[in-house]
Amino acid sequence: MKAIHRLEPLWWLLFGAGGFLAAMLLPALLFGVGIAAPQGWFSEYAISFHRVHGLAANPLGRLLLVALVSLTFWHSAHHLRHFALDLGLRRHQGPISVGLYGLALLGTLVSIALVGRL
Amino acid sequence: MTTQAPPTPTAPARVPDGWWLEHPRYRNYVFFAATGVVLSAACVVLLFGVHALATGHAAWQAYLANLGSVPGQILCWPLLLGTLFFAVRWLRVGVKIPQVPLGPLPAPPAAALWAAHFGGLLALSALLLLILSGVIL
Repeated sequence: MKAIHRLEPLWWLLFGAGGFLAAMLLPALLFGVGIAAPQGWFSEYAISFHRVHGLAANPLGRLLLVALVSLTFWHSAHHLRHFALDLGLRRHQGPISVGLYGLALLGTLVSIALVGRL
Repeated sequence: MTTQAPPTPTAPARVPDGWWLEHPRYRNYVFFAATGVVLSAACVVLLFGVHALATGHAAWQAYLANLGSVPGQILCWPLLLGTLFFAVRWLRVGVKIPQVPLGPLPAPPAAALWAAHFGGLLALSALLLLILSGVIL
């Protein structure tokens, strides 16, 4: 738990960066990928495998995907950790912090591995 | 000789009267905290898409078909509303923070901060949607 407290500035940095990216990019990306594309509101060319793969697999696309997804996971972990403390779970903050940050680390590794396969 | 300052007196935390849903501030706070789950779920949806792209053409088509199904849309619409709620709330906080006076420099005008934050959101969202829809690139 001491190590987690010592790294508090890092958690806040990741929280801020993830919150900023998620606020700026996630609504439009989720609308485009999760709603407009499957509903057929975009042309077939726009959502074709080769075009979307090309967008995601270029260096800027890879960087954006890894940064957005991994930093959002860290943002969420930090937010939920402090929410748990506010709910009065201070006595359990050790396992809660390790669990949430562990999930964020796992999400980061998975996102790097998946984007690396593109 | 130094004397130690007495501890700052603090009042015990007040428990709100009634259910938290009746208090707009508590309600907003809890919903904002819950967006941590929503944002993570949205990222998992996107990661499935990356996995599909890495797998091949058929997997990508299946991914789109799954998202377009009724369960897929039941998942995506609340996620979209949650991410929008998060974005607006986050940017509203982002507008307030630079208005706290720090040092000799005057705080930027609130109107400029609003325009920068929400104008940035609109501009980036439009750019992303133009790219995704094939209008540009």
